[in-house]
Amino acid sequence: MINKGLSNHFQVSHTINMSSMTPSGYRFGATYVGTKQISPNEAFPVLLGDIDPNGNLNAHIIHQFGQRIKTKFVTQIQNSKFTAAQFTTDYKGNDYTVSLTAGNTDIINESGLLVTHYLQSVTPSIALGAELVYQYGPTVPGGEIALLSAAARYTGTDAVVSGTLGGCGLHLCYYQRASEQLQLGVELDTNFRMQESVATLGYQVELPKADLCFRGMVDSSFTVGAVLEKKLQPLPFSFALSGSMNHNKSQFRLGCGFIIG
Amino acid sequence: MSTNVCFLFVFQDLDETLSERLWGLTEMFPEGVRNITSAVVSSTCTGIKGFYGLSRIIAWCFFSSSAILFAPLIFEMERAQVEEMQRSQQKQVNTQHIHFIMNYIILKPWYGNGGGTLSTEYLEKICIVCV
Repeated sequence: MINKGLSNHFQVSHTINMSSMTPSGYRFGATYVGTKQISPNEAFPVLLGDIDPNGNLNAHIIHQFGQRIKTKFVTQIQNSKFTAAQFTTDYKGNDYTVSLTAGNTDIINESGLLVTHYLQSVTPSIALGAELVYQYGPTVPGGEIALLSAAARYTGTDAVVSGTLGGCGLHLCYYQRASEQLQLGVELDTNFRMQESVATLGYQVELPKADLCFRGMVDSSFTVGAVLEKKLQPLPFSFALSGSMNHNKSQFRLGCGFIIG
Repeated sequence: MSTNVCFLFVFQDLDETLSERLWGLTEMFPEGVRNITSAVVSSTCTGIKGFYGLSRIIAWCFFSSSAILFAPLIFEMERAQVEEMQRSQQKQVNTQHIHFIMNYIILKPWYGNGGGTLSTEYLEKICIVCV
């Protein structure tokens, strides 16, 4: 992957992907960051795009109107057709956030998907929220369908516990910053429809002295994976090496990547 | 005469094999003891084989997972440590060289045969600036 910054606002990337699992290809990406600066880290509008020689395009447009309202538009075009188009609006209040997402709205066939999120911080460390998913259209049984789920998050000094519970499944997550170099996370993911659950344990070790970032994960479906990223000083190159082993199927995969710039 | 006949019988019976003679000895023990012993021995054999197979699987999973999860990290940490040690050693050697050059080559003519030296703190400061 070659990243090249053409100016303070504009960056271009070329990605070559070679693999035996998925079709290999070349993608060209461009990022434009606008002039309106909210804080030293964020500037708006942000336009991100990715295109490949067949004409398949992924695009993100993110813009912030004022201090509180942020909008995002994501679209994907494949084979000259809009396979996905999603428009999200976030409103950030003093201690709550509301967001509304409209996805794949098709005026001609009258089908679409609406998702509403509401998150409120009850105390400085506890936040509660709810999500409502509403889907309508001729393909949906009964014309329309709605799903409600609840979420909660507790933030401690070094740890964050969060969970969501809904019609489709239960999801629990625990994150801890064990030391300056080590971060741990445990996640439980269940699906009521398919009656299956997966637990994952992951960790990340950062060694700035050795310019190294190492991430590893162990799964309850007997999968072990790890990613090693190393910055090759003095030039701005990064090398990434990843391996994944599924003990059940006795399958091992190895991949490597090289990022320039 | 009778002893000769006995010996003859013994020599004639030598076409019985060793295992047949041992099997004959088992008829000494009662049926129950025989059954229990055979059950215990066969289950021990099966148990040992199964345990060996299980320990193979566990050892393989453990070592391959640690090769993926821990080995690269440990190697890189050791490498960083060795590199740092080398760097600090190199710095020390450079400091010693500069001590020598300053004392005996540059300053010696000024102090004559005494070969006087600058105070060590002053020398350390010069070394840090140069290195």
